Amino acid sequence: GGAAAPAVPDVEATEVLVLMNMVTKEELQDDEEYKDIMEDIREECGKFGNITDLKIPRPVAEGEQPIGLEKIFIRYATVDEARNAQRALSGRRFANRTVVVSYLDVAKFENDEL
Amino acid sequence: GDDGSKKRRSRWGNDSERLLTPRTVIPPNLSKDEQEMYLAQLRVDELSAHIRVGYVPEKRSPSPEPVYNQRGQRLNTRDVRYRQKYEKERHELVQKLVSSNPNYKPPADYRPPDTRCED
Repeated sequence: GGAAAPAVPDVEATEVLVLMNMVTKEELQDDEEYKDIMEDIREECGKFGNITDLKIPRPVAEGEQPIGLEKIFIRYATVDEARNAQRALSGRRFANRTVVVSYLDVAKFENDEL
Repeated sequence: GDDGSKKRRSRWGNDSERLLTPRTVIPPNLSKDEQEMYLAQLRVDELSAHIRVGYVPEKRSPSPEPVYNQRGQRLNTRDVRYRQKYEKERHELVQKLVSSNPNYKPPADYRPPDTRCED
């Protein structure tokens, strides 16, 4: 038998790519680190297309858990750009963690239903 | 050029370290809770691998003051600190996974942390 392609789940792409398992709330709390993370994300993810919006929710008050915490939401101008980014970024290492990806509905992204 | 004094090191790993497995794409139609458990399981496996090989990341921040035991052995070396950190995170995730799914099997080398008996 030939080498079968891995059974990658067939997920439907949207313009909004979600990156997970990359940052912890402790890192996000630190202003300096948050700025650094933003910069790292923009630099690398900008290679795959035009980023029109970027959301990285931060913990606000002690003990409070905003929705989408520890996830990174990137809106690209087109679905193709998001798909290219997904193909290139899933499984990459970020701060020694493995990048896990999915997509989010554009309407949900706009309404902050992260 | 030698003008790279302000150049930070990116958190991104290079392509050779990439993990090529379908596990890094969240399966469609998972509920929020299922997604959380999916990520928890993946992270537990990642931590187990770190613990197995004694993985310690490259140094980014200064080390804390050394702590020694009565025989003069250092207790808080980086490998010990990282191992404890991984064990703690893994323990919390395993607890979460077990409580949401009684059939969940923790990694073979997983042990709950020592609970000291009070005198």
